[in-house]
Amino acid sequence: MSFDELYRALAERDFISASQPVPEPDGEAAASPWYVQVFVGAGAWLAGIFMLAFLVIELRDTFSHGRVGWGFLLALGLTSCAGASLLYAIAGARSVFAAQFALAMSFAGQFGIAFGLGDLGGAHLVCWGMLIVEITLVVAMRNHLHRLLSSLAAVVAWALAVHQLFFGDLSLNPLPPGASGVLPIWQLPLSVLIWLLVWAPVVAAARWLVRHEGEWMARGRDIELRPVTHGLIAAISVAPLALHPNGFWVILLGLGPVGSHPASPDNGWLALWPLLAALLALPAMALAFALCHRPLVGLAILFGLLEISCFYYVLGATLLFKSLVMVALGLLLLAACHWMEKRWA
Amino acid sequence: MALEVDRARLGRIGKNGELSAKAIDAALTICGLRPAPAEWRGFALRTLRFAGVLSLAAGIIFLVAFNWQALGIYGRFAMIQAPLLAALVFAFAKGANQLPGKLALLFAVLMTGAVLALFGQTYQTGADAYELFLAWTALGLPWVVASRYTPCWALWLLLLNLTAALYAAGVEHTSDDGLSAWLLPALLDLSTYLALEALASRPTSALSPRWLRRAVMAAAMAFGTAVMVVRIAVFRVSDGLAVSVEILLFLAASATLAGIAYARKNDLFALAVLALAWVTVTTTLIGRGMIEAHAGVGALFLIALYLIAASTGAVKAISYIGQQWKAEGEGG
Repeated sequence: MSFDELYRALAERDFISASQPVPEPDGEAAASPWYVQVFVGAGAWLAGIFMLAFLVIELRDTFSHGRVGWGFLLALGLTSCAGASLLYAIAGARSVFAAQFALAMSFAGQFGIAFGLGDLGGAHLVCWGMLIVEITLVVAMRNHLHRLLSSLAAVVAWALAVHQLFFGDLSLNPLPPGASGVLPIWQLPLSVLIWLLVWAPVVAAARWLVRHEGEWMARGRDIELRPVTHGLIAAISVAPLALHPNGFWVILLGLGPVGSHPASPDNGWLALWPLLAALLALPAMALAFALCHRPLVGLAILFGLLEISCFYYVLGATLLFKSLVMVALGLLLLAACHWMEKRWA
Repeated sequence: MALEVDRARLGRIGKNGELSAKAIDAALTICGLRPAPAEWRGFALRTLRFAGVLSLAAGIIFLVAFNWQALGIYGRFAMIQAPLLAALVFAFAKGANQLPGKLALLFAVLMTGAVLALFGQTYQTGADAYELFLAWTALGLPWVVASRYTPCWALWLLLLNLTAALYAAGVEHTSDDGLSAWLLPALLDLSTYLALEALASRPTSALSPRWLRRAVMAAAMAFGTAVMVVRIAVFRVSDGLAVSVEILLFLAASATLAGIAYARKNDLFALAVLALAWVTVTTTLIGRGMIEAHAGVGALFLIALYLIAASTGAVKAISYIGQQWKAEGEGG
């Protein structure tokens, strides 16, 4: 539909006066397609790692007397992020190279800050610290892709922080051998309640943004809040993986302590969390569908399926119990579908 | 030609304060940028049905994995074969033209794998993992063809890829020279992609959706790129002939994919995948060269700069080609 047709339709419905002139929006289309953004992000991410390695090795002799301590890493990280923010503000909108360079610099900075915080206070400080850093970057970085990635990273940091709070088993400060790292939470309602405490605010925030889209667009906040909305929806699909008991994914990714086993047998009801995460893919899909954003719908489907395979692997409940849960859930979903179909017929 | 309304352009109008919140809400609905109530209902029913069938299938597969000895052999087989039979009867009764029938056939494909796994588990056939997947792929094909359902084809192609990948992983460990076994899944996906492209002109085909072609093409290039990266990383002079063949195949695959994308002029995805593959391969090549030349710490910064410059160049080229295609399309 063209703007001429839209303004006529709006005038017919009394949203605007018939005499209101039709604007001439610039020909610049929306942000680049999602796959180009994935390509840009992957390139910058890798470049950021190389850049940080270069900066650390090159500058440690000058500023840190050959020792890579937390102070040096934090200073390097913060400087890189500040430089990236400045580069975005000055040239990011005009130059693809500058935007790409800034993204790589920012990644290097974030790695630096994360390593520095890890050196200073372990996994606990990294998670909570990075949550604050990512929220700050959402505000500071004037770039669609960066804001989207920072929103996603903020939710991942939030999930990791809560994971560390409950289990304390992330790789930066591994537990002594024999310790399970699992709090004695064996009751289903409590387990589900904790899950909701973590995810309800994130889903509520994403839902609020989707419901009030018209309001923030009218206030000229599209540039800031569009990527945040997309980032939160992507996070609802992706980030629940970070909250799984025993952090078995940490070890699967090769980040865990050497020789550690991916799971301990006493998760109890926490073994249901991957299933709850699979169910969380449903609101993510619905929110993405509300925005007619097919890549985000696809992401939710993909991670929903991944969560079901995680449910298979997480110990704490027998496969027979898991099987019964899945069959019961399947029958419940099909019955709900049948009921809705009858009601809407 | 008049510009189409999209969210980004509406957002820029909103920034100028030209439309109220209610007007923008109405504009999003009028332009079809928000789903209508009927679309919401269709989405909810599709999602619930799909999730329900997958949950049931997963539940039965989990049960096979539990290996419930107390049930006895007949009981265990009946537990899997009864739902398989029920799904086929349901699909026959409903017809494969309707979603419930298609989903029943999808369920049957999943149950075929469960039956094969149970068979291997019960009789300790000693078969390799790839043989299980090969049998699953072969025996599931009739239900997939009958379903004429894109997700069912996607599942089947995933099984085909897993079969080829498991075979390659097994052979790679036993063979120390010659062509990489990982060329098998790469070439398989490339051939599948060419077949899918040929079928794309028939929009009613279950194999015509763009996302399926994109996924197969991305898988082909992922395997091809992995072959090249490993070859560059562990290159030995004695591998000369095999390396030449692999490089030629990689070049031919890249040229074919670029040629198809350029001929169709309707999807930039292939160009983004090719760009990512080439940036990965050339970065590995530069890295290997710098290691051999003992380039020092500065090499890290040079590689970072190369990555930024190469991805910038690729993004600019993709944008330029996209604009050209759009202009040609508008010009008729």
